[in-house]
Amino acid sequence: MNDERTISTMLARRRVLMNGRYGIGAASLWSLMRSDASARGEDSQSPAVSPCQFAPRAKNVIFLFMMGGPSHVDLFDPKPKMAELHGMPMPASLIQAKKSATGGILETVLASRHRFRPRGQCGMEISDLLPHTSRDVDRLCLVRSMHCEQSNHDPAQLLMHCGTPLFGSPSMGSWITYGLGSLSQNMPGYLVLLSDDGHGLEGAGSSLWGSGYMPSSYRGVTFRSTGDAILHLQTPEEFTQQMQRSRIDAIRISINLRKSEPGIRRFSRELMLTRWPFECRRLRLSCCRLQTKRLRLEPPTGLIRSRLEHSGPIAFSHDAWSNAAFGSFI
Amino acid sequence: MVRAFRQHVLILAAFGLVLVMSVRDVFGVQNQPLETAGGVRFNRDVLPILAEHCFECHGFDEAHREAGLRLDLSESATSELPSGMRAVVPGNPSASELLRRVVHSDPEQRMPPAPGKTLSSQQVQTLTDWITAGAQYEKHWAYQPIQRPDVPAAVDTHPIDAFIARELTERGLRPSPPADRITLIRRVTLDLTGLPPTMEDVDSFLADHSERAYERVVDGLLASPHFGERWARWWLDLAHYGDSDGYLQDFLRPVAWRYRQWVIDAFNADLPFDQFTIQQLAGDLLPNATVETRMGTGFLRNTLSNREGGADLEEYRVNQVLDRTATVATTWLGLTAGCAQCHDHKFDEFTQKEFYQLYAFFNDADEENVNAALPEEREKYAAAQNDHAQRRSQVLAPVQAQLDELMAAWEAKILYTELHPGEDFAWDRNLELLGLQWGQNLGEGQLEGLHIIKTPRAQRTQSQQDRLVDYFLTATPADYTKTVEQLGLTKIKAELDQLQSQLPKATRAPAMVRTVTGRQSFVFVRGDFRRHGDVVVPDTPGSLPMLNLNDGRSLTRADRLHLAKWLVSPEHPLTARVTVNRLWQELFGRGLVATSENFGVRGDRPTHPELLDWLASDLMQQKWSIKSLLKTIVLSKTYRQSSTSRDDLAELDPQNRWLARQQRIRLSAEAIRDSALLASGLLNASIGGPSLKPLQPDSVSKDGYANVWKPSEGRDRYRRGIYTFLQRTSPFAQFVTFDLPDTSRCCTRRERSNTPLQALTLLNDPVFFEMAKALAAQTIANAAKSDADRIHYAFRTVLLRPPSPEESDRLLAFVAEQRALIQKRHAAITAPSPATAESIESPPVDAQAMVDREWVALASVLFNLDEFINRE
Repeated sequence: MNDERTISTMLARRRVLMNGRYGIGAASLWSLMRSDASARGEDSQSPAVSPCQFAPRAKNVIFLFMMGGPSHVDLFDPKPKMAELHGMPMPASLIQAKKSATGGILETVLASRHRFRPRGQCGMEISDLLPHTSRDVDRLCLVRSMHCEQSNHDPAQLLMHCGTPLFGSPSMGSWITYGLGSLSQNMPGYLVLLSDDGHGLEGAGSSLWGSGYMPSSYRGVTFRSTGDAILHLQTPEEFTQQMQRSRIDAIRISINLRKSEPGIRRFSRELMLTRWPFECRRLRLSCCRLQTKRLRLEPPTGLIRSRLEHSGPIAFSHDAWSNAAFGSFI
Repeated sequence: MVRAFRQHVLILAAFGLVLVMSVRDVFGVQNQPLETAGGVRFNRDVLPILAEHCFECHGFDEAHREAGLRLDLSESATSELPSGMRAVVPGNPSASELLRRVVHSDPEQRMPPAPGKTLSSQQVQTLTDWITAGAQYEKHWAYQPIQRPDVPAAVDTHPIDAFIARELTERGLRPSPPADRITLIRRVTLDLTGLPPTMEDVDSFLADHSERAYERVVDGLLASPHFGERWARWWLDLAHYGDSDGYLQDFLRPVAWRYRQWVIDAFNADLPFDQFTIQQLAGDLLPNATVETRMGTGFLRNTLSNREGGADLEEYRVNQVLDRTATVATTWLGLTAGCAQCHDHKFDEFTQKEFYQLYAFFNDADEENVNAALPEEREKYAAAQNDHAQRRSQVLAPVQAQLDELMAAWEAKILYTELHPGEDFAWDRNLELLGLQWGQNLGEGQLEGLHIIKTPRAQRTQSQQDRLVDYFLTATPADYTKTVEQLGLTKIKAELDQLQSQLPKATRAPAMVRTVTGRQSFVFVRGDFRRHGDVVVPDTPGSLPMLNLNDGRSLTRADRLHLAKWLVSPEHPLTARVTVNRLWQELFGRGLVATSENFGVRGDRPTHPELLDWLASDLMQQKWSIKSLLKTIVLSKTYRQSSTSRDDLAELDPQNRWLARQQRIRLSAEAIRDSALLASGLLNASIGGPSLKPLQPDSVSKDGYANVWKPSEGRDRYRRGIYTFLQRTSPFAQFVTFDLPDTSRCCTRRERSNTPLQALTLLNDPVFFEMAKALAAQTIANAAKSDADRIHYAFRTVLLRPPSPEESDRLLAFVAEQRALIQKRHAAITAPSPATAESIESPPVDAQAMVDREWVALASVLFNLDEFINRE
């Protein structure tokens, strides 16, 4: 894809690097070193994320995917017809249109028990379950026309994230990163935070933040809930930080040996050793906080603060399906 | 919440966004007209403009054609339109409405309409020149027959070099000098076997001064069993091989590796590419089909299987057939046929109906594993088989008649339910479970049970019938509970299980068979499997040569064997071109056609069309031998030249299209791991066998729903990357970081990205750390005691060349520095008080473990060098 551009940036970089012999550690860090200028496409030195396709107006894109969350029918999507049909068998037209994943178990229509009222000046109908959100409806955009024919977890999630129920397409975040670039200098452009309740995700796995047929630089970087937040962020325990620093310096053998452009020195070891891990740990902390506050739909403020420090798409997986606490909603 | 987001933050809630972005807009291929002397050529200069800007509304797709205008055919472009205008009047630009409209000052009138891009003045000039010269159309280059071109007369005797030299001379470029010998042997060894050479290989090559030294190395590599592994991995990207089903539960396919093994063996045996093609698409239909040829059809078994409750069996079967169709079209035809799934192709001559004609070939095929006992299993299995069959029928004998009756009723009810869904929920569910549970976690065909039921009893094999009985006894519908009790079937099932466990194992292998009952295929209106349009029969696209039905089998309806033979027929313009281009891509980092997945109108044109055709015809002349073709290429000077970048080329040919130098290529994920394993001495180089699980952090498999990653034991952890278990929903993280393609669809060229995660992996991944430890131990054992000797040894082991004096000095300083730091830490550990900054920073470790740690650090530095993960 975009061969011309990618190759010319590769070459530019390559000439700078005096034809190689130079650590991947530092070379890869190049992708972290993009200036604001390069993010705006004025100077494309990043081999990882190409300059953006559009002048971005949004600085951050946050996508919360609350898998198995409480039903829209209970929260913000009033269905008066269901109240009429409550307790009656599911209309044949619905059953024939599409099989339900749980088949005949859901043969009876169950209307929401919660009361919807018009809120704010716009009159958006929100149920009593969301008193806080109800106060802010005039500042929200709510789309109710979305529909989905997929009843299985993975295809439906893929449709949501990648625009098609089939595997192998880039995720929304990949497209956003591709289209809008990233202002981030000290964090990956596209982050994925996963909630964790001890078992795996009930879904299509890494395909949901995969880059499909686009380069892996557009793939979401996962912040993991267990182990390293980002894989292999930790220095092996046999090494002290000083030893690690000395190691990274040595990897840059040819920078020291061959007088190179001053720009390269900007791959300072602090980036590798402090800023990334620091930011990553911070966000991880926020992610944990999010999980402890899972009964509220609002993301914690700490997260937002750290969001202001970097840019780019971010996705959450927040599985309420298996959380008994949500039972009270239904 | 709202306040916190402020106006900058765009919230895309889970229920709120559809992203509409055209892939075409974003990945628009930039086809710049080549600046050469001479007139405008339709294919080279004009077609790219029309394809990019006009064909979407004025092209092949009838449903979306505007104003009755079709610009892809001469006849329609020049005829009078309903408006009375003519788009193209040959020889008369001023009368041509096309030109008037592309430069029209009124945005309402100008073409293409917003948001399309306005044509550049150079593009308008090209169109004007073309019309002035008579507006000649040409057939798209890739559909024209392959003709063996004359090799240009040149000093270079190698045909490839002659073709390359001609283009270089025309552009005033000169080739690069030969690569130095260490670079060359590393390059060719990595390219042909996926592994670097060892120090001994390098030394013997350096010592061999004969003219044929290099050719001898090449012959040795082509004969190496590692050749098959390297090229199988290349092919598995196309097949999109995986060891699991995909989708939610991502059930395992423990026998998927049999197909991988088949591919490795095929490459090692240099199975001619035409046979290779035929066996993978139709190995079961060959008149002399064997287990081996049937195993080739495992190619078609790499599609995903959805086994989640509620899945519509037909919908996901159709998805599998669609994937097979698109995969075959991309792999052999180099066409983006999938675009025609919902509508006529916008750019290529591929109607929706033609897509479904291709689909019909695979719609006639069903999944069924074959009994393919491994060599070591065969004898025992065969010896026990008769006895087993007898004992099995003895167990069943007391209830045989009643069981037959019961199963006949069950089968009839299942068949009825399939045709009458929604009548009885319990039976809908029984049918569904048959599709979801059959062979789950065994890698068996998902709908095999249903196909057996559809096979008349008399035509079933004993194995089919036995497996159906076993399934029935395991999943007997609730309706029959009483009968099951009366007949004591539970006890009988237990006895059968007992018998089965005593039968020696015979590993099965994924394969395809012809559909028993035949299946009618339709055009799916807008790609929706529920909306049947016209009935279609298997056939090939009209823009390509005719299908030959006359192969002595006297069939009236075409099948996969016809298709496979058609693909490799000498008249076929695509298969050989597409294949040699992909091989070229592996050896030069870029194909002669850069878009190796798309030879259609929107794909790139070949940089060296005649060389491409020469290679394609050579492949066929050499009886489709892949080894011969690879040998021809790697013996050329073009391949052997240096890859070092040059200032003149940076300006004249920044993309290295004209190959005035070789290309520096980042190694594949597998090759990086394999290289490090080899250098560290840990590599377990045994060939073949089931997939294995190297070490990786536990958190990776948690990306999936219920995936479990239990690392393999002992030396199985150090097998080559191709044997790594590929769990589709949580693929092996180390490989994903280094651009392993998505295993869910056909990939013709891997991306090569450069990300911080790669740096972290090489620096800190415990697996790479383990390799560094092994290399350190090896260095200490094999090199003399001085630091300089050890550095020299480790450096050569990893990079194969000796370090330069500067590099050697730098590394000496590094080792000294590390040693000092280790001693400092050692002191901190052994002196228990007071707590120093160092001891707080990291927990104390065993002091003994610190000894010689500087060499581990050195080894790790070497594995992190750019030079190590690239091939020059």
